[in-house]
Amino acid sequence: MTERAPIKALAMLSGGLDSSLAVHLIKEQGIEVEAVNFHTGFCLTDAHRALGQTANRHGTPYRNEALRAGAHERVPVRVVDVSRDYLPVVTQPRYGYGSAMNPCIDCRIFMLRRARTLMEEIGARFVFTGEVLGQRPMTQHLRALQLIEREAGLEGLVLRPLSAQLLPPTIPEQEGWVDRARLLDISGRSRRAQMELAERFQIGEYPQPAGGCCSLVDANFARRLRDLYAHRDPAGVLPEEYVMLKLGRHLRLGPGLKIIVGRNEGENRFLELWRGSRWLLSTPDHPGPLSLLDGEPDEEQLLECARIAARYCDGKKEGRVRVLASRREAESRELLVEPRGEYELASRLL
Amino acid sequence: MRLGSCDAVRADHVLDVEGLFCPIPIARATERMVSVAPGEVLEIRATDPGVIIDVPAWCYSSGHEFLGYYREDPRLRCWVRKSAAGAPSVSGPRRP
Repeated sequence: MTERAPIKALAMLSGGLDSSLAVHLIKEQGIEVEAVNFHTGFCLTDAHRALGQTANRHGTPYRNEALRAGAHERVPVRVVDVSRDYLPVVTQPRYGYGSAMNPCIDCRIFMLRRARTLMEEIGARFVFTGEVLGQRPMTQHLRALQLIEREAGLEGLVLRPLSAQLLPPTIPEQEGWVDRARLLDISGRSRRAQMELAERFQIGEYPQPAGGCCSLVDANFARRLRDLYAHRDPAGVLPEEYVMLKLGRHLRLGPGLKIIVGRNEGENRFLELWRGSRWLLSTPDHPGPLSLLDGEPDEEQLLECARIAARYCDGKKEGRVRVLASRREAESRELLVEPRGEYELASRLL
Repeated sequence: MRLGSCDAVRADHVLDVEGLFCPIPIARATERMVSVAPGEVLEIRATDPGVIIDVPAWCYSSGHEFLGYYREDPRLRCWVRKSAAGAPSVSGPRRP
């Protein structure tokens, strides 16, 4: 009797509850699972960590959830950095944006295409995801799911174990690689069914709250990102600059100049660490934030930036505030300025 | 730099990911592991403190052996031995 090679499948694993459950369900059927986790450069957790924060207000540590889930399910996880290739998805999505700057359909197509390549490389027969029918308005309804897998060249080869019984049978089900009867029929935005399963499968550590981890769905982040791309070549934006979009107050002073004002110690530390050759402003006589100038200010702009920095320090009610501007080694200026009034800044705030 | 009990760790390969954020260190380590022979040790040099959470999880999921870490803010180093089989283990018991 010859031994049959085990069937292998590739999981798209974010590490959230749904994809963790999907991995569990497929592994339970005796299928060999490998997982992939794509790094797009727009993950929220990464920014929190870059700022030195360790846990959210629910007490969930800022860790890579895909690796956590992989360790829990004993499934090898490949973390793949796709950030460079991902840029056109964000700047020119064929299928447009969702509520903010989230190109959800193009993003899914992009990821499934990459997954297809990897699937072939590792000898997997199909790809599966934690998608739930009707959970997200843009991508998780039947027509979108079908469009996405067709565009990715994976027609019939994308299994969604949590909703499989509500969807047309896929090739893995038709071929009997997986037992459709043991897959689920979850739909909608409620997470009750998933939480019950988590308890049954002893998945205790899934991230809270749910709701994705993509910065692009955040309206504030999207506004700043649009502004950045309007003034810079997207290809030249560095990873730390994406983190900066998530911190501080941003005020634009001209096409080539923006000031970023820290709001707490973690943000100030980050601005200082990643200042590079930029001007950094501080107020030596008053407790207050650090401000980073992104761009080359002329004299008048440097003064205006100092007034803004003065506005956000504890001396904002003083008539004159001393502001130190420094960059590189040994290049520093001392400015005495009148703090800007709050309403004067409103139009500059991004 | 004093390495204490880690003096004994002799790395065969060094991966420098200082200044890079999660999860790039892991992505780079995954790529580098391809050229590491089974049983050899990879040293990861990083500044993202989350590395000491993610690297053990990565090792556990892919079957590599996590040998430990040394931290001296803001720098840290950790050591990973590539699994003897050379391939990730996918079976085995679940973590209790």
